[in-house]
Amino acid sequence: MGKNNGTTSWAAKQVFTTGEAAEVCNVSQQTIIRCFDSGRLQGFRVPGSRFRRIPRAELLRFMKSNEIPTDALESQTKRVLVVDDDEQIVELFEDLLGSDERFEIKTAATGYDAGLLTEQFKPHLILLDFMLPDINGNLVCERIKANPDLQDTKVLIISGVVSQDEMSKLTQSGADGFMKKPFDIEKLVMNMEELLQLA
Amino acid sequence: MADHARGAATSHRVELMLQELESLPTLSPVAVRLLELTADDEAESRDVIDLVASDPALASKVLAMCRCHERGRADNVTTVDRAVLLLGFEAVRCAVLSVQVFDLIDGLPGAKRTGESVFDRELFMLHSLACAVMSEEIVKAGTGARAIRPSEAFMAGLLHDIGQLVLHVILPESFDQVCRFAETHGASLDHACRQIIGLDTHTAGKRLAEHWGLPAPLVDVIWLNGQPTAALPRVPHRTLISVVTLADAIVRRRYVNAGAHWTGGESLSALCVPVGITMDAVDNATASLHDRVSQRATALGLAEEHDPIILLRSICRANESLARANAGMRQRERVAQQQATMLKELTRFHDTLPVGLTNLEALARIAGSIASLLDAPVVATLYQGRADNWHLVRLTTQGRVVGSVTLEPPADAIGFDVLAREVTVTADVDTLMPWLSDYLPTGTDLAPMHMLPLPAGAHATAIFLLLGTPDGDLLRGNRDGLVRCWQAALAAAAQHDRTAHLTEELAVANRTLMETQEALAHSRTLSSIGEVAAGAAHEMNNPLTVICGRSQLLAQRIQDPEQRKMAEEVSTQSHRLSDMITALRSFAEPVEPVLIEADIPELVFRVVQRYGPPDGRQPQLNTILTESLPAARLDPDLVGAALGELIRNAVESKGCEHIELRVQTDRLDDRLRLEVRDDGEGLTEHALQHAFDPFFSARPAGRQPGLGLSRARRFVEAHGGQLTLVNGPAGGAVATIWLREWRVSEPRERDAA
Repeated sequence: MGKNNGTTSWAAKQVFTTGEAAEVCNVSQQTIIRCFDSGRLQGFRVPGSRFRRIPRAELLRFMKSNEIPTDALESQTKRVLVVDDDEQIVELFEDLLGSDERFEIKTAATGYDAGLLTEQFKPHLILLDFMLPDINGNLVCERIKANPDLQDTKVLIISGVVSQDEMSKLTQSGADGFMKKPFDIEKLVMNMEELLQLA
Repeated sequence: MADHARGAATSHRVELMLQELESLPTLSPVAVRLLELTADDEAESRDVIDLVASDPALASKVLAMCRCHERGRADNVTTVDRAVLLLGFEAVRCAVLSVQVFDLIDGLPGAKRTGESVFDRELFMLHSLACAVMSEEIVKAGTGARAIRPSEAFMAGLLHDIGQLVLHVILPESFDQVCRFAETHGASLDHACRQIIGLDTHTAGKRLAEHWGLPAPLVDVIWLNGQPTAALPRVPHRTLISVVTLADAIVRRRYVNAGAHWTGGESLSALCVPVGITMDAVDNATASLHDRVSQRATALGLAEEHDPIILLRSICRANESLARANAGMRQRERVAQQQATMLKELTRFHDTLPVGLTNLEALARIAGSIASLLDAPVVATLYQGRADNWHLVRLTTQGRVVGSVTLEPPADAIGFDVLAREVTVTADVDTLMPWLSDYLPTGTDLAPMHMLPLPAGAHATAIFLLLGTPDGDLLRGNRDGLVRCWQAALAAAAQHDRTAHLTEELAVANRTLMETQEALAHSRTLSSIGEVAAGAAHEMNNPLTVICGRSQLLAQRIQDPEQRKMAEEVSTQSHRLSDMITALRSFAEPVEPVLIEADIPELVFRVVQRYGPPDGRQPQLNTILTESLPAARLDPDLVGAALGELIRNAVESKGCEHIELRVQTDRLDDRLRLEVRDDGEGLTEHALQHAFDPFFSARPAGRQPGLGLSRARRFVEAHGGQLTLVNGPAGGAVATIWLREWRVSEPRERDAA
């Protein structure tokens, strides 16, 4: 896991205490407790105690529905998942993007790993190779796009394939962008910035 | 059906004849009365005796008969009374009846016909009388016929063939015909009667006997005599019938044969058995036959001529029959000889017939066969070939083919099929095909030629032209077997010819198929290059991606500009390599042009800008648009890329100084022509052959990898067009793109544009 530069590290936190939630939302702890007890903010109590705990997703929902800026919760670094079965290429991506402070990189070598990591890591962007050893990139892409929890996740397919047939499959799978291997690294970064609205 | 109709007509005629029989006069009252009386009722016979006695003519005949009948014992019979007393009523009764019957028939209209008739009445009467006498003798001599009274046997013998007399009287001409037929064909009279008249003599006689009310034994004898004993139905008078049959046979063989028929049948000794008489007794009885018969004939008033004369006539008759039989046999022998000739020729023809004859060979062989059989040389054969053309095949007298020409018959000529089907075997060539002389050697006379058509199915029909008049009999008669053999040979040859033709067609088809396969193999080669490239693309692109990416990262980090440029070059070249893989990969995919309306001058301008040499540098490029071209319907990207490849090819050609790009429409077929002509060295044979192969280059090194022309051709062919590459007449190479159907066909689209 990449290091978080800021004073708080809410970005990686999955469960919040009422105090933490109050800080994130910039309201008093009492307000959070009231909302929790009235059911407007849902969570659970720690087994064997009365301590309230709020899951990250529910906190986000609460903040959005009450128009509380989520900036504090969202970190400024963008989580990027690189999926490619070629080790050299994965290393190239790590070299290229790892030095860029705006990105937090994780990598997967198969479609299966990609799925697991997507659930866990909640990447903002997936750089997806089309030809994977288990399932093809377009299927991975379709699954991600079909999941409502991941609707903010962008997919950029990077592939060596060129046939019209495969191209149409890729666009149908709902990918947000496409880059052909080999690629110009500057163009790649520009594409990523565009998709992540960093520019 | 024809048999039915004929059967119906015959039975109708027979019915008419039977009616005529019915209308014949009946016996006189005396005869009727006599028939009514039974033999043992002497008292009541008094009337009849008186009746006979009162008719002097009848009485004298009866008395004469009785005297002959019982010669020696009754010489002094002078009155009917006495006759009855001496001879018994039965004998008198028979005598009266006999006289009555013959008198009656003599009295029939047409009975005393004048003129020649095959049926000799007198001979017939003599025969009947002889039979009567013989029957009487047999009954007297035989042990098996004791129960039969001699006079009854006499009567039966006298009347047994009365049917012949009847038919002769009522159907004189037909019956003559019957007699002639029986004689010529050696058939029995009854068989001939049934064939010609539809009614035999025995049936006719039976009907008459019934009409006249003759006693049942007589009716049966008239009906059944002549049949083998074993074949007789179970009638009570079988012995009498057998007696008459025997008597008839004896008389026919030993005395006089009348009615011109000869029924072979059983031997005399066999016929003797049922009657119980020995051959010796028969011989004894025969010895005195002549005398007895002449006495009886006199008594009946029949013997106007002397016996020897009648015998002589009988011999003459027999001679005539013999002569006719001889003539018949000669005729048959001739037919048999013809058939033998035919058969010999058939065998020879068949034996020497090889398998797989060509049409001409078959025609020649058949012509030879015809010539040898008919003894008339075949000068030529008309033959209808596969394509319905008429051919004339001329032959030597030895049956060799001189030559074959295709005929062009005049418009009004009779159709070949009509000739082959309807012309008779010996039709004149002169009248039916006078125009034929144009095709025969000068001076050939058509007049002595005759035609022999030989139809053997569709496209296998020939007409043979014979010199001289062939023997009509041979042609008309029994030629079926040989003609079928000829036809079969002709049909087989035609079949063989068709097969050969089909084989040729098959060979052509095979060649075409082979060429197509070559073309397909070429496109398959391209496809498989594409397949390989597709598989390789992934594998190659990944390392390329690494090389490319790393070199770019490297370039970013290197401060020294020269070193950075080197790193950047690595990146650039890896991109080129990737492009090539992509291009190669595209061979696996069909090119699908996106047809839009494009302005040709603009397209050409753009292509020249991109691919042409920079201004002012060698070689120079002249673009000539010969006419104002309308908008074209094509994929500008593909056509542009193809044209670009041609320009690049020309620019790179060795020794090229000028390039001419000419765009025009072809005057002949309106194709759009984009032509690139250079003045370089042109192409070697090898280069021309392989110019469109991927990666081919005429130059060993220093040239861009050549996917160019290969791709260009694909793009053009995707438009349904053609890309040609040839050496120009003045040196240099000429590469041309030809496009069909390039015009925007629908005006509406043009308006919309």
